[in-house]
Amino acid sequence: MNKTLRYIIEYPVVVLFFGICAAMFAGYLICPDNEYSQMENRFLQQRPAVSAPSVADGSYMESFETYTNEQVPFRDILVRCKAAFVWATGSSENNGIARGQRGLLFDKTMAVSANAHKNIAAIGDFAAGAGRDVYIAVAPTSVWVNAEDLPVGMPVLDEAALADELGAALAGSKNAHIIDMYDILSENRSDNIYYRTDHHWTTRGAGYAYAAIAESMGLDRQDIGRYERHEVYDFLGTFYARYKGPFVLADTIEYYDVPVDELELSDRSEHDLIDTAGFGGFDKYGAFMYGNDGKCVVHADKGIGKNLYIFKDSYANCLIPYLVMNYDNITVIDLRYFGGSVSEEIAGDEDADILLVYNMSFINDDNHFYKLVSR
Amino acid sequence: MVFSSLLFLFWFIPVFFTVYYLVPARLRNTALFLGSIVFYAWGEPSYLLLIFASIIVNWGAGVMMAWSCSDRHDMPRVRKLIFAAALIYDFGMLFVFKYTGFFVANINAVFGNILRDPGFTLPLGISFYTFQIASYIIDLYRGRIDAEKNILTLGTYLVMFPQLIAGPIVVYSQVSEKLHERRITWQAVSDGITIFVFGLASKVLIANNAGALWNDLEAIGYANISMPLAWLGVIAYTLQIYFDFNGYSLMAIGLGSMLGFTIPRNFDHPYISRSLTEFWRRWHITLSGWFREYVYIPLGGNRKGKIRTYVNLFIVWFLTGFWHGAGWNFICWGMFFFVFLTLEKSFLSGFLERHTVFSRIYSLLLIGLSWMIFAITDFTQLGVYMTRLFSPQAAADCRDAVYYLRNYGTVIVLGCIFSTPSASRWFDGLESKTARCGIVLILLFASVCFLADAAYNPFLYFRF
Repeated sequence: MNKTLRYIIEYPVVVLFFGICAAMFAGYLICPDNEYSQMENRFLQQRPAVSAPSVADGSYMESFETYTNEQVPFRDILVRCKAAFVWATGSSENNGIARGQRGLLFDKTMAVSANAHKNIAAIGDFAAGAGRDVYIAVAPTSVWVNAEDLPVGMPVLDEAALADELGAALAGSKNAHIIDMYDILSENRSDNIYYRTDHHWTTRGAGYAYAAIAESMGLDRQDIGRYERHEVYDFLGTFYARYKGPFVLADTIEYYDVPVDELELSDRSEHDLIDTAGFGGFDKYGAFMYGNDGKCVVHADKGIGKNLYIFKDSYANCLIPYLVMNYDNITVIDLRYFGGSVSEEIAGDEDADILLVYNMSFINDDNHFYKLVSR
Repeated sequence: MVFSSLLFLFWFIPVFFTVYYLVPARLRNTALFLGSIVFYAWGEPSYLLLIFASIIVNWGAGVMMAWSCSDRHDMPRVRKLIFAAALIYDFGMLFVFKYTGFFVANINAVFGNILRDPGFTLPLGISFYTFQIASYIIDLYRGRIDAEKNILTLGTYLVMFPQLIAGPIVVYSQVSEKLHERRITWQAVSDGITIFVFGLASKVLIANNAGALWNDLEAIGYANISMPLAWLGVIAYTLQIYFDFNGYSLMAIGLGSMLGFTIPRNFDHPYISRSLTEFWRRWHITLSGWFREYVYIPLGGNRKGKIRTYVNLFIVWFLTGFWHGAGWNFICWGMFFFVFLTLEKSFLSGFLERHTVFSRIYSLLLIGLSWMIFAITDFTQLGVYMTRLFSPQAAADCRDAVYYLRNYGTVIVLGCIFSTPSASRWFDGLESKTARCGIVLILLFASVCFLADAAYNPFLYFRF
């Protein structure tokens, strides 16, 4: 015993190293698995069950390795420490998210993807074949609008080139109208039009977009200020979920109580546009329109006599409260989750306006635009 | 499984070493063999059969070679035949699984599409374990070692998890004694852990981060980067490949020491070299040692006149390049070294000897450029990159370099410092046990933090 003790003192590294490894191993066995990471806003891999086929095809080992990464004891602390280490080296970046001036976080996108060209072509084909006016509102991302606040020299997605490509794809169709939102957003960039910690625009940013849309589509622009305004604090968005560094300023979400009769979601009905319970969770932006749904219909029956189809990504979710003021019914389609036929859908109401709302980074990444033109 | 993973650190290490340290000494090889099989099969169960076949073939060949020339028999031609068959099997497998695609593609390019590529994926570690087992069979043939009668012992040598996948290439004669009997001391385990953690930190803290810069350049597109950023890329890749590979080797050496083995050193601060000749004495030492021992010297080395020496060098460097990958760029990379080593051999070395500053610039510059040939497998892309490196127009707007210097400057500086012997000299000179232990623990903690958040974690040398 005495001898062992002497060795332990003589070689502390041995005991500490094996002790740490064994303790972490015990931690995996003892601690219950976390289902969901609040900090990263995503579901985590649970310990997989062994089965002969999953071992044979290697999927068991793969999930098990993911499990060891995602369920490591003290994961949140370790991950935060990593972000702090990176920050301490003077780096402005962690996990592809860079911190710029004014506490703004930015997504580092280095190049135009192959999807972008396909998506733009699909939008062009859709507009050419729609047989009525199609309005296309493509939002620049915060990287493009807040270019002055970027860390010096950060590589960016060339959104102007993509906008030009879109313009060229639509040049042939008389019915296609591009709504340029860059100018109005850019002029008002000091007005917190994008969240610092999230990739979305703010309710205020969507308000400027609404102004541009209303002007282009000839809508009678309404003042949302006549509805009650609310604020939700401590919002840390998708950028933060990846960045996780120290000294990040949380955002505030604004929203207005714009009344509607019914919000018809694909699996249920609600009676307002905003899921106020959703503000209690981590993904607070998901409260707008109850998150993304394949198809949902907003009924507001104001007797205006005009309906709207929106094809959109999540940017539109906080824009819809504005548009509700100008339409009786709005059918909102998110192609990522939409299982129906777009052509049948828009044939249902031939007098309705058609509006596409997307942000440029989504057009660059997504691969569901083919649904616009496939039958 | 890879060393630099939470799976290895917190599942494999506690379970395996508990078993390994608790079983009686005579069962240690069994434990090591089974542990190594789990380690290998975790990522690549299908190619396990190939390893088992290799063990059986080489063990059988060894036993039969011993039998054919023993007290009772004297059949040297049979022995030679068995030896040749085993060699053909070993290198045949390497050839089939590693190079078929390359030859099919090139033959098809010349003669039209006449062959179909069977599309093998490279079996993990085949380039390394083929060389290891070949050392056994060749040394046996030369009569330098005795045949191993116990198949488990030979199997343990071949699959031993520290060096199975990416070296160091341990030749059989170096470990045969330890395979039969080894003592595990506290001192060796303690040293092993320290070396292992240094290797882990090299890989996770430096190589992965430097590699992130290099990967960004590919994503941005070589045509779009400024001249300073292109040079930053050369530095980043140069550091990445060293800390990646040396990190792996250190982890292997450390684990070997924890198991009671002595695995030879694979790197000796290669970037302080003052010539490419010196560089290859310090870089991947076990590989160049293998080529010298089993190719260059058997070919006659430098003992058969000037011309034969250069021919032999050509063969060795062609094979070295080709060993690194089935692609023309790797062959070019080998030829690059052949040219400069020949120049150094014929007249340059004396000049380099006398000019310290020049020799350092010369060596680092050529090493960095050689890594570009190595890293960029497409010649058009390589051309684009070279243009960025040397065209002044590309220096007009250098803001991208500012961004990367800010984000990766610390890693690059640390990488440069730890490429010199001063850091390890300082650590070795540390008297305080607490300080040494503290440094190891901090590096371990930081590495675990990075692993917990890392999606990006490949070993470069796994491709070979």
